[in-house]
Amino acid sequence: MLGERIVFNGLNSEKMFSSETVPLPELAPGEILVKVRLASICMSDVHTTTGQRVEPTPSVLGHEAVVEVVAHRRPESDLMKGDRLTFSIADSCAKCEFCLKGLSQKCTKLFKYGHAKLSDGSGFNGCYASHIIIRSGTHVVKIPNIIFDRCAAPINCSLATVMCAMEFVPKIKNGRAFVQGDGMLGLYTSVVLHELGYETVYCSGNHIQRSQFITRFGAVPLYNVNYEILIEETNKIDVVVEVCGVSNVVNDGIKLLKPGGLYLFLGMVHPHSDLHITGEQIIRKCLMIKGIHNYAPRHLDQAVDFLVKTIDKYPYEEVVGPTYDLSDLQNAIKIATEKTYARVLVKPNMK
Amino acid sequence: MIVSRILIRSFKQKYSHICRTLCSAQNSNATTHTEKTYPISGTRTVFNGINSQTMFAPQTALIPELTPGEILVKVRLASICMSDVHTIRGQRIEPTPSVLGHEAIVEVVTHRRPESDLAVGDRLTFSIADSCGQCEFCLTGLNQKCIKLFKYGHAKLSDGSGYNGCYATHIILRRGTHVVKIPEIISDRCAAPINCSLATAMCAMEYVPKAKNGRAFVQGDGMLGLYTCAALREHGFERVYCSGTRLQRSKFIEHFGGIPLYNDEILEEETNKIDVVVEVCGVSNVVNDGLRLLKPGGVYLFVGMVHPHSQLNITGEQIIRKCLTIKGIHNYAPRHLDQAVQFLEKTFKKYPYEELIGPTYDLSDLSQAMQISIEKRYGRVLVKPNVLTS
Repeated sequence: MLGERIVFNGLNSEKMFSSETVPLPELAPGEILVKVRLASICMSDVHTTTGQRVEPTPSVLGHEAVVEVVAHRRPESDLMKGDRLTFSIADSCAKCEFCLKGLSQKCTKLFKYGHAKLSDGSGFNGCYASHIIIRSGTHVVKIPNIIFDRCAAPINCSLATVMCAMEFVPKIKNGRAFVQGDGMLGLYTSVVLHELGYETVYCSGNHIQRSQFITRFGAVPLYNVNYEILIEETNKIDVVVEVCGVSNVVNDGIKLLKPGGLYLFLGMVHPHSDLHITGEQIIRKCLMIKGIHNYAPRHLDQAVDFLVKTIDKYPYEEVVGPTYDLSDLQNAIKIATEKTYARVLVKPNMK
Repeated sequence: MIVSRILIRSFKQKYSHICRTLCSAQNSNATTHTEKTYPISGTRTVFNGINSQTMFAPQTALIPELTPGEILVKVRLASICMSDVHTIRGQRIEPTPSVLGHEAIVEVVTHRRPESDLAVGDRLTFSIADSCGQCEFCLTGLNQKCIKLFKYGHAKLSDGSGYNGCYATHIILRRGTHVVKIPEIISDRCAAPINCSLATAMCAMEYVPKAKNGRAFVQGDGMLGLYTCAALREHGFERVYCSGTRLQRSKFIEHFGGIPLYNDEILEEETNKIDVVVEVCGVSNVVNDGLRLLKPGGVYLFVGMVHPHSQLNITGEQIIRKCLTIKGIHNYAPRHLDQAVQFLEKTFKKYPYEELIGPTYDLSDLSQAMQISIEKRYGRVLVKPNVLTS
């Protein structure tokens, strides 16, 4: 059986992306051969192709997708051919100190789909391909029929990461939150905080066309850095969530937080994230800052449960943009860069 | 004859009434409202600001009547916290004129807390923060951020009774102030620093997870650093490194359960292996080392950098990629004062607390005592007021 994959050769190579068709290897115990139904382009891949992030090359990028079981070697599981699945970005060992304390994303033997060299493992390691070979340490979750492919694709990076962040958010009576960023992470964070019972959730961003989505996801949109709100809400916000990847929002966030408040950092996963804050600011308000990177298996379960519970309540379909053929990946990434849509999709041409 | 008998009888009645009143005044633990059994004036050393002609000026002033819930205490021994040193050096701004000093062991003179079991002569420590007990911060256990917060040693003279700081003969403890009795086993010298330094360390410990074979790194070898070493060891941490700038403290660090680190021995081999780092030195340039040493999922406690010159030179990426937690600790809540006394009582014979404490100066010598404090030769320098008995 053959599979197709789009190999990323690096920024400075003659051809950034090249298509390759190769035989699919035999499955080892614990592995699952899946075909990619629909992949979505995460902003981190955009950053890789614009040089803001460096990933090993050559590699197959793409780490968000809804996939379908073709064959598997997990006899103890209830997996069946044709099952639609989401899967953990992180393949982990379950035995090291990090896995054992629920921080599987920092496993000592961590392997990440869409972030691994072609020569690492099977080479069918990323979602911009027709198939993926899911390794034995990878947690998978079935997607219920009620969730369509377009809504399922971003679960295993964006939504699961938000679930991980939520683990640190206290349930607060009349809680007030501020979400800094209106991308997929920001929209998901807004809706989860809203469902958690937060009374007021502000969401700020750069894409004014997103404002109506923000409202429909349960938050109050703020654009053009609404200074009035910032002054009014100074020292009154229980939780601030940075999901825009830009470090200069952090000073505002710290001002807004009330004493004892919580700041979650999710987006700034790149070196150009200098913080211009003092230790005093953190100490005097007894603040907690928590860094959230990826997630653990339980958060993937929680993501699917959350989506099932709220799929009819929020316009998840509408924030997802057009679908491009796998062969058009470069163009799709360019559209993703423009940020007109929260997500742009890629679908391999299945033979 | 009858008139004189009536007069004698009424005199006897009046006399016995006076006796009864006097007796009840002597015997009652709940104080009387009518008889003053305490000195009507005390002495306090007023801080006038660093640019004034006389930075410290002693003042004798009337001690006001107690209102319900208040406690009049005399200061047995006060200790000089580094934050007061920063104030007189201009690195911190406090309202002036004021009475500085917020660490002390005190003794009950009289009180108006009838529901309590306080007795005249009780040795107490008390919360730096006077709080309301009702606002959202008090109700969520963050009393140190009470919306009606009042801090001893940080309040203007005109705020409240004026007997607001420990560099004085007396303090009037307000009704929203938590107090804890000091067990006999704990000497005055060791008790004085409880209500800032040790209680703050207890508050920090609330955020320290129990880690099997845990490794910690304490950045700072002052009072906070040494208390934190002992507390981490008692919490079960296997290895507690402690770094600082005073080589003479290295043996103290060992006595308090830590492994001393000096001369930039920055522990390359512990990179990514430390569970908890605690900043207790007030210097922001240690933070990059701390972030490097922490293992994924680790906790960084910021305790010392309570001043504006604490610019951090870190990135969001460093915090995110390692899934770190940074927690700011400022002062503490009432429960931490209880924990501090319990901790000291439990470990009093185990660690050489007395050795950390330096000489005692008379209150009138406060300037000199501060000067010695600045030199940082001792964990703490003490101040004892010359108390006039009533």
